[in-house]
Amino acid sequence: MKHKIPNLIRAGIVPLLLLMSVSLMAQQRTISGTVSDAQTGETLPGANIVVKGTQTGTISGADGGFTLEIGEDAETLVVSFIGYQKKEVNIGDRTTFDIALKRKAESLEEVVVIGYGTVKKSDLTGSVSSVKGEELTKISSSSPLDAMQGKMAGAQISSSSGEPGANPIVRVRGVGTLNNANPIYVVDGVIVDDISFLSSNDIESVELLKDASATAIYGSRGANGVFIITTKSGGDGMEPSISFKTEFGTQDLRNRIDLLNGEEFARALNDISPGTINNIDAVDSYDWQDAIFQENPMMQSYDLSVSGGNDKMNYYLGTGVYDREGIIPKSQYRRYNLKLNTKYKARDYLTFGANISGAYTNDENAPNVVGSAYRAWPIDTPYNADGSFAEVRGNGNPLAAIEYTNSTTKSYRLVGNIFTEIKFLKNLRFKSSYQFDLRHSKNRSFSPEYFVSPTQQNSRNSLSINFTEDRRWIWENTINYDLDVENHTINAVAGFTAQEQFYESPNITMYRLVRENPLFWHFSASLTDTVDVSSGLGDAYKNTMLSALFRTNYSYKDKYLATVSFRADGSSKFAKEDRYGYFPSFALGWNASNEPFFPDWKAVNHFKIRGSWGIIGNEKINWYDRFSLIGSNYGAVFGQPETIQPGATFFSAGNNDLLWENTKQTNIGIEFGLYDDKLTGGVDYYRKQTEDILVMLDVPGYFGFGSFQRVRFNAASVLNSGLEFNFSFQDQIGNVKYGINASGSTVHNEVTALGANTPTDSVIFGGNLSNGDRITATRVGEPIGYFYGYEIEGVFQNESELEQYPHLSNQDVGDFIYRDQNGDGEITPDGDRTKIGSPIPDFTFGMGFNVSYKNISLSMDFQGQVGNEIYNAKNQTRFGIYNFEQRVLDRWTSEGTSDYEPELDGKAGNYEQSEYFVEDGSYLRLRSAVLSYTFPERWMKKAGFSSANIYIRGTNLFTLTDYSGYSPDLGGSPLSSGIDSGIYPITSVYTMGINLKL
Amino acid sequence: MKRKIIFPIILLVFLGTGCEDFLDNPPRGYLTTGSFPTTKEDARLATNGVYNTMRIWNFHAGGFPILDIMSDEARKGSNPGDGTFLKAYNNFTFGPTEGSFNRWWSTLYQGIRRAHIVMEGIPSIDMDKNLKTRYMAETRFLRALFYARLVRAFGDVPKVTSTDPPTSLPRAPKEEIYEEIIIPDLEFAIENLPLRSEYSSADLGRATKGAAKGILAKVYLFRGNMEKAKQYALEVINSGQYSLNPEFSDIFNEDHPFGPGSLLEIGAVPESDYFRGGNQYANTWGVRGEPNLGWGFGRPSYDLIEDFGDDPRMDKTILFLGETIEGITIQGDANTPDTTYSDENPDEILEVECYNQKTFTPGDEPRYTWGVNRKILRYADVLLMAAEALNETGESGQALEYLNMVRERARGDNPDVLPDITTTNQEELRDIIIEERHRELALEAHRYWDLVRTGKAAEVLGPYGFEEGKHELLPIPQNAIDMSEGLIEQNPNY
Repeated sequence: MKHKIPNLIRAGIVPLLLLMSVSLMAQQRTISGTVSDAQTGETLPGANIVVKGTQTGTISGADGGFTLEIGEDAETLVVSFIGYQKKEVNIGDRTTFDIALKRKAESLEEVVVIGYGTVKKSDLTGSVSSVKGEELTKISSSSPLDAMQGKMAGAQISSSSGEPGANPIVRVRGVGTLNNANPIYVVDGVIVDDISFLSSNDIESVELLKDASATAIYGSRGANGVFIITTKSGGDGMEPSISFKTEFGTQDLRNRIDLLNGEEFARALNDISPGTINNIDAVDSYDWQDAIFQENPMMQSYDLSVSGGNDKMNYYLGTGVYDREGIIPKSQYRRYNLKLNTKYKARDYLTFGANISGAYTNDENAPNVVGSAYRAWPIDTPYNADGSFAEVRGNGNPLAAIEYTNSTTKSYRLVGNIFTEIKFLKNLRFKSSYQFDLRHSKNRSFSPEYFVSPTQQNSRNSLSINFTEDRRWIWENTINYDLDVENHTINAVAGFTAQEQFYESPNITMYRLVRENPLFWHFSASLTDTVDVSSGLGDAYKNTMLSALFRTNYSYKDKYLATVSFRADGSSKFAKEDRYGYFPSFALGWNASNEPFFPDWKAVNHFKIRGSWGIIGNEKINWYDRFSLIGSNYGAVFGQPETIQPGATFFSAGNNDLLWENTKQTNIGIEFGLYDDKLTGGVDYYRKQTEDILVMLDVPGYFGFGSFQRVRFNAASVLNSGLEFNFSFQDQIGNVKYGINASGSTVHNEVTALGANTPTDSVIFGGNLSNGDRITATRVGEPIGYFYGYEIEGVFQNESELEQYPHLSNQDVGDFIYRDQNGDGEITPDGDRTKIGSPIPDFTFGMGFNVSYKNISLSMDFQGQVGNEIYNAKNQTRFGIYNFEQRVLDRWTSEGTSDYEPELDGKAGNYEQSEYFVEDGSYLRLRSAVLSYTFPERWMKKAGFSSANIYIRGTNLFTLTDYSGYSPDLGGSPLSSGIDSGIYPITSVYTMGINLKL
Repeated sequence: MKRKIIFPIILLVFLGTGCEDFLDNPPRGYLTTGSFPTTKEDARLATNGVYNTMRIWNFHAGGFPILDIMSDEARKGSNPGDGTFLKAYNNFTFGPTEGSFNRWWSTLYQGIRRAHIVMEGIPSIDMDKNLKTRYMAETRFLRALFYARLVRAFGDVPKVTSTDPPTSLPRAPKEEIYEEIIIPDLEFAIENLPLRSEYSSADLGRATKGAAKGILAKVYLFRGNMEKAKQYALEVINSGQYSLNPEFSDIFNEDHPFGPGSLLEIGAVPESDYFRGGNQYANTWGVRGEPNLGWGFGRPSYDLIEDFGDDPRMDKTILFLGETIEGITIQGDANTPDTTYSDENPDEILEVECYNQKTFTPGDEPRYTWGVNRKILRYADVLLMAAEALNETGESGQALEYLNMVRERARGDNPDVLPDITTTNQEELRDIIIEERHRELALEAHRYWDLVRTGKAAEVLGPYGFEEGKHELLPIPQNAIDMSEGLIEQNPNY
């Protein structure tokens, strides 16, 4: 370390020392200057300025300026800054220096992290989207994924629940499977299936690998895309840098669903059964949405990090707290996280290191009362005269549900790796890395004894504790070979990996606690000795996998590029004979702008064309999918007196013939930089054909698996194709710097085959609603999981129309005229239900604008999608009379009153699945707006900081959409997507924050 | 291409060194179908697992008492805003997509699969031969029961005879199901099952010779084979194994499981959890409101009340508001009108708030209602079947004997009601017996099928919306049709 005095202390002591040194060492002199970016002229705070061969040095301030006392014999200044090329400056007699540093990787020289290695961006043959860590701190969310929404071409990220701590749903290049379509995440080399343990502040960069050339090295797990996340590390020769950030604020819910008020609802009731409410003026009118949403739930976060290093070791230590309340009372998410990255160069040839993340989360889960508030009768009020909870018709009293639900999940997670790297022979490196992902969580739920109504009650208090243990390890051994001779560059990697996952999740319930207060929420308080061990599917399992991998990148004269990769995976999830999958890929690239014959257009600095083909897999199925299991909890009651005798029988069906699901992907792309890289961008065309898709299918009831049981089959093929683009433009006019970026993707999703050997080979139904309806169908030639139901031609106006058009037996005048699709003169579910929408957007996009003037900057990010539909399932699924949406105010009451809104008659005829419940899901959302002010350096210096800024930020400020629900941003599993059954709404978040660097 | 070959080879070398075992992970905590049942104890567990089917909520016509609601004995029930989809059963407007059918259908076949697990597994188990035969007979009895319910409700149904049915199976004629499965199974059961008195008290409630004969009598009755129906019903009566419980209401009392008149009932213990022995059947019917015993579906209809007249069984079948039973006063549900009048005629009573007393349990916790044993076959039912078959075969005199046994018990100590029937006019007696069944077996899901099989459905249920040529069968679940891609066809007129 070249600087032994921390900045903070220096703020006070340095002037004193300077005085002293001046008097003691009269032969010294003072130099000053500024450090700036050679290309943009932007000043660079925090650059290192050192006199070569000495310990004398300083760091540039917030305006890039520095002053330094140097000895008479000082000859050369060494100026360095992370991300820039080191520069040596001859001192001579000069006393002021304007030092311009060149970016180390002027975008093209940038290094991109890919699986099991890195590659110069110019040498990249695969399709990769990147985003920098600082972009991820631009929104207020616990999840870095939320922040990637709209920022990575090819990724569709939906924050489908506003519940604090909820994980967003991520789809890369469309939905390639009917199975689990989640991508994988590789954090500093550790393969994990979610990154909820990471704070955005600890992330240096994220790369999204999309095409087969990039993902095939992850073989059986690459088909849904791979996010490579690199966390921050300390650089060589860096002064310890300390950074502190805090943010706090509040949230609100900007929109409500338009529901009937008490009077309107009373009239509706009277339509359904005349005379129900005699005095409409006297009914109560209660707004249940206002009742369940709390005012101003808070959010706050604190992050502190320190990093540094020297030529032997470097370190990054980050720690943070994230705390957010939900818009529904009793929901709160708190995360305490720790990140420690270290690397030790023990010998020239030997390196050790560890990257470790730890997180503790405390998640209080309110019941999802959105649905019951939607259904609650507005003429009912929440409390009886004595203050107790009143029966609320519809779906129960939502406030009582909140009150009587006490559920908290506390989780610990430790993710990381320890590794060693040995250089041997010439050009060879051996790396061994042991990775671990250890999770333990405990959910404690207590329900007191209560009675609100016959359908909302608990006759004895109960305590359930669910423990989940999930231990995973991966051991990777790889050898890298790097050769760089004249015009040939080769980087190759080969290796073996072994991994194991063990999972167990027992769930225990006991009844009748002696007291109900939280001190007694422990099993020792139970008055009974009966332990209820509810059997849950998959309560213990072990999965293992063995793999071999290989890849080589070859580049000739930086012009012609080739990549070949191959991976073989063996997984315990498949039967012995079908256990291995093989995943090759090939790619070629051409840096056309490096050719001598490339026209010397001034505008074009670089231009590359690349193409790839490969096979990747998806093994995300459950361990039990191939086994038919016997359950041992099926007793029968006999005898006088009656006792239960144990029984065991068939429990769930498996399919031992399962094969790997595989995706063949072809990709063609171009990348370019224009006008000194002020404008950069790329366009990709991709085509993904996924075969042998592993999907859970309903099986005919006569198989005897029981109601709602499903079995996994290799049952389908799906094609996804589309275009992706991203552009970025940065420029400066005087003191005003501005930038625009945009990215977007189109998806064409089409099922190309539904397999034989399955119970159904022409259609797969999915999207089970709570009433047993299945709202999605998947057929050849159509997108996965499209909505199907009746089309509506109007409303029966009179008896003669009723006679004229076919209708269902429970339909009458005033009800919908469903279209007789097959023209057989009857309305039948199998003949006349048809495609009425698709949840898959045609186009998803993000746009960002930023502008700064001197110390003030403003940035705005928009994000949205076009061309998808939403199925308003909460409106359709009615087991009783629930509150209605305001559209029923236009309802048919007599001939000629409405031809689009049916009468209310309490019968089910208008609540068949139909296009009435399908709505446009397109939207444009202002995802984030940040106004930031950077304090002038002279103030900061006095305070001892190298830089500081303060900002205000709005997240999800507005959403333009026609959708009637809280948010059009819905995810879902592939067969059950875009269905709104009452989601936890997404809030707007208003925060202010401070960043301090020391 | 060389690389492509080399790497699998390296992988194989790696695996060859004992790592292959690394990829073998059998299920933890679960047996798999290949490994069960393989022991003597397994045989018992697997057989109990077949009985367990009957406690699945969906086993009871898909959960809600739709068969009673479709008959003239019950209406939808609960409060007007709850379960409105069940209104379709009040007036026969249901279609094949209503979920009850699929739940019921799937659950009956679930029981059939469970039976096949026993039938395929236990023959090769080394165990006591008699016990093995008994388990086989119990299982085949239950399989016959499940199939009999399927064909009665849906007509022709897919014929599944093993745990590995083909992936596309059309409907088989119901005659074939009767001739090849139901009747042989019941005959096997009659041959091999013990008498009721041969079971230990701990095993009371298992299938008996008498139950098998009774079910077979019913099967023949439904098929119009009165000779055989008579034969088997009389065999039950003459076996001396059964008698009428002197007190009608004791039959339904939770404290008297497997009473003297019980041929088949579904054992349950008061635990609001299916895995621990509860049966949600009665909870579905239970008094709504105060005392709070359930959801209140299947309200006894006003027609039923009127049909009872002065029959003392009314008071033991229907719980009226204000009635006090075992120290508990029935107050009912605040959101249900005490009396519902017709829209057209304000003086005409459509419904009064009341509940099924046959599923009542004392106490004020809904979990007690989970202990109610649903009665499948009672001795009174056998007596009335015998009477009916005798009457149809010209032995009206003997028919009167059994009919009057049932009436006598119903009469209790009130000599002024339910006089003995004396007519031997076959037609008159036919109607009287059906109406006796109506009052004796009210709210036990018999009425609808009795009306259908005797051809009275159109007359009695026509006003509710029953259509001849359609509603004699329930619709095949739409789900089953969708998945068969048309191979399975819908019943007529749905």
